[in-house]
Amino acid sequence: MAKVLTLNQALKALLFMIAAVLILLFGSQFADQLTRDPNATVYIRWLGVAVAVGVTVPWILLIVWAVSAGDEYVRQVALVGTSFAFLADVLVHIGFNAALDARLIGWNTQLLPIPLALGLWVLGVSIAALYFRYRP
Amino acid sequence: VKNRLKVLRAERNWSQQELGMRVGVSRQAINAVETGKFDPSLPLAMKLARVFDTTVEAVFELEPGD
Repeated sequence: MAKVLTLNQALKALLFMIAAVLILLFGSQFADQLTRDPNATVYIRWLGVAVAVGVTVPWILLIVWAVSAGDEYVRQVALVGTSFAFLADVLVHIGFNAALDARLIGWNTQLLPIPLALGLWVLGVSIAALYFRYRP
Repeated sequence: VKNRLKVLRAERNWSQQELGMRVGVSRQAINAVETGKFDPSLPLAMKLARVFDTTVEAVFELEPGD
């Protein structure tokens, strides 16, 4: 059988994606509450850190599943796209920090690391897919 | 790497989708191999040769620059 998604698998993926969004959204807020509480103990703040990291796991699982469910062509596109996204993420962070140091942007401006990483991953994979499709 | 996938497929009147189903990959993967944009792995090349009941060398051929 070709490695294509059945409707059942697509529905499960959609539900899992919605759950991942909700976990990320509410989990991040909960982690903020734990880490920013001035009265919180060290253990509570570490728990906040663990929650902040843990809420990204469903997204990572979703990406791993999406890549592993594909055939070798899909995996090559995903690998190239992920490499591109990693480099772009590093460059954006370097550029952001340089702009902060140069006082070109406000000192209290923050990068949103998770939305940025997800956006760059989608962009990277899209560019890789277009490259493999249209290269001469 | 040059290949004769399109010819072999046409001889059997198979679509890219059908060939993909037979060897377990997507239509996009077959299209990418057929147009020379993606070199298949050895297992996929062997599967392709097997479904056409021929050898890998009869399906794929190295080009001078490869």
